[in-house]
Amino acid sequence: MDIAAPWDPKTTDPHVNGAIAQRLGVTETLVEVNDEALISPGLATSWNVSGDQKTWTFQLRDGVKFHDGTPFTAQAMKKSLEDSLKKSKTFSSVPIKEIKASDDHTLEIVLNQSLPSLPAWMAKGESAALSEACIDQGDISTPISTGPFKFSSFSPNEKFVVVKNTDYWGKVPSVDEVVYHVVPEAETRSMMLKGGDVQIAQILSPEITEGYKSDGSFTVNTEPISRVRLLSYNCEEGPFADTAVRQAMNYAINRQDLVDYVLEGVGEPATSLFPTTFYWGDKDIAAYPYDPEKAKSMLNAAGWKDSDNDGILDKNGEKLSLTLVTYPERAELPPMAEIIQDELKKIGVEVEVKSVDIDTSENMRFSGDFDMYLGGRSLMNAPDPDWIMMADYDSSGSFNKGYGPYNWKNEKLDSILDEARTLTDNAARKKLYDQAQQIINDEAPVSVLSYYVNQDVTSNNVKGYRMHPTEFAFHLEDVSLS
Amino acid sequence: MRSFIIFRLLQTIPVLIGISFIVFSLLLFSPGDPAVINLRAIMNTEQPPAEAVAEMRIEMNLDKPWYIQYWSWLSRVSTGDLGYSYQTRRSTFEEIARAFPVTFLLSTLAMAFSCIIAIPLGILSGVYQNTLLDHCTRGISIIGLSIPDFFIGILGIMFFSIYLNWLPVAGYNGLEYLILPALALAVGMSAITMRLMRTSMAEVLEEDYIRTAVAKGLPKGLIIKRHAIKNAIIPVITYMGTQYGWLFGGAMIIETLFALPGLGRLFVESASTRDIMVLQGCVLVFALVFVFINLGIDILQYLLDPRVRQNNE
Repeated sequence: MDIAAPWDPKTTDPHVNGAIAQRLGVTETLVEVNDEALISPGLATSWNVSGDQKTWTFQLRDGVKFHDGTPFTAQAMKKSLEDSLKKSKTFSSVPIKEIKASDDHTLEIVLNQSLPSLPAWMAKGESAALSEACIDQGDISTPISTGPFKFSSFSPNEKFVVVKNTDYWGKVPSVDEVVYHVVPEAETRSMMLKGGDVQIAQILSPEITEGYKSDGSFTVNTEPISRVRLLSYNCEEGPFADTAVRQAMNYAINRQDLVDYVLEGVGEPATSLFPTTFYWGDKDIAAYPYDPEKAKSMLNAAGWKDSDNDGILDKNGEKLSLTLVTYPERAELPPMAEIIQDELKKIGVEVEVKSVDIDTSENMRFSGDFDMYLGGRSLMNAPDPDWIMMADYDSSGSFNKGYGPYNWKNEKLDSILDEARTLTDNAARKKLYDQAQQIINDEAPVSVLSYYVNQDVTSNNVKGYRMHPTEFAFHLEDVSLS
Repeated sequence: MRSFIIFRLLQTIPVLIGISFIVFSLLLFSPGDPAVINLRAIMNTEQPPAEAVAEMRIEMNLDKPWYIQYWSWLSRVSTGDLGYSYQTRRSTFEEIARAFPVTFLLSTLAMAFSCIIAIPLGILSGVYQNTLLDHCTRGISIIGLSIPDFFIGILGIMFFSIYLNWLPVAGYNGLEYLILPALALAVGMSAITMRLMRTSMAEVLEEDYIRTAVAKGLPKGLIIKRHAIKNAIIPVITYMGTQYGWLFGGAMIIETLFALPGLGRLFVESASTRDIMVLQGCVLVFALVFVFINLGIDILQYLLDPRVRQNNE
């Protein structure tokens, strides 16, 4: 089977960059992420944390073998994690003090301070379990892990080849070999699919997938991923320090228009911070209706009126004139900014769009030199809500280079997030995170606009292909070719 | 001959030093923190955490002043060590050694196609000026020049790969994968070469020595073969040499379109991820290729053109 995808694996060492080997099913991690973006057992069957929240104990799966035939043990896992901590930057914010193998199948991770999302970090590809002999290679050129596929070969910028592992502890794949072709151009991936060179073409643009919809020999697969487009507000100074003005924006911006005109109608307007296809998404949050009249009356109530009849609202002699900063590295953002500019003009708000390169935009953002910042934000660097909530929405993050609201603090939210950190039960945590998302929705320190959506096209002889919400797996062990 | 080559080689040294300095200062003044940029790629996230950035800055030597960075780079390069890629952790030399053959084959094939198309057609339209053949080749060359190479590439894929199924769409797994991209590159190049060959031929045919040859009764075919082509082709060779040099760095769009792991793509990718050492290595290779191609052209002219030989002795 052949797959065309845009990303180059860059390296064969999963502890340096583990994404592609993990997606292709070569490597496995202690923890997995399921189709609802919730962590689930992987090489560890269960885990729990000590009373002081600092020692995590993982029970490892029995009867798992590495591709070289050696057994998967806590000692090997310890060696893997230590190698990963040494090589990868992924875990630089994870306060790991010590890793202990108490017996063959029990692994303990001791932390310097409590971190409820630790199991989620153990789902990252860079924490892959590798055999001890494999780690002894130093720079790993042949990754030997436990997954359903075995590494075969890698040519940089060209291809990554894996073959099936007939000794796999779980479901043995039906396809014998998978060639992952690195093809940077979306149009080329599409043509390779049409020419029969590949059976799966990943991450095609809406303009391309549009053409496949009427073609019965292909299937278009669509999946929202863990990245949102956000309009974040400068909550410290300027008009957006006033909550009512921020709330008015939610009625003034037509999210559906943004999806329809810029994204060819692919994807849904956002409601909660996490997509509702995710376990952590809050399905009860009602979407803001597009209601410019209401927005206008809210602004009037907040003191912004057009007293000099120039079409632009003003207050105390100052015009409601705002700066929207965005960057063109994500091509859809500048056109979205223009639509927002247009829509706000209709309610008497003047917007100046500054589309600058991403680095300049970040400098402006972090110095508070903006009113609105339109950007894409990855939600699940670690597949757990704690990470993004603390980094962006808790006042410790929003005042310290977070990518959510700028200098915004909500006591209630802070205490909810703190409480969530003391719990390990997911249902109880979800209740709190739902409340947190409701507060973010109501207080409007950011406007969540839409989710990023991946579209993969498969030819019809591919059966069982499904896409992963956090892009951690291609699930090729479940795919067959007819 | 030997002193001529040595003199030409010595001339290249200041050029290379200048290039290395310019590249280095360009990177210095480009926006953004290279540590953040590299981490974005490594960690697959737009916003790497501050702890990782601080570590990376030290690892990348970014905490040192620019002249120390430049000097350490230059002294390493002069011993043949081009550093390593922050992205892949492989040595720059390894990255370039892998990409170079692909681009070399692609460029050479494109040049060969270009020669086969342009030289005969150029000679013919130079000899038969303002005939139907001349007008047709002029029309073709204007079309070839106006269509961008990637568009020709896409048309080529659609026709030869998807419709006829003769050639693979993209990727690199043998020489047949280079035919379409080489053709796409050759079309635009041959358009210019063809026009140049025609003009040069037309000019030579006006020369006194051609008139003399006609006057002494030599057959037309012989005049063209023995006297006209030999003289007319010299400026064309110079131009094609430059084109060949350009191809090493200039085929980036075609290499990306056809997913070829060549030098152009390595250059673009290292530029977009600001993988500094690889980028510097690429530019150095482009400069070296140019320098050596120019040297080669000079030597070729030295051998082909007795007038050059006389001037240099």
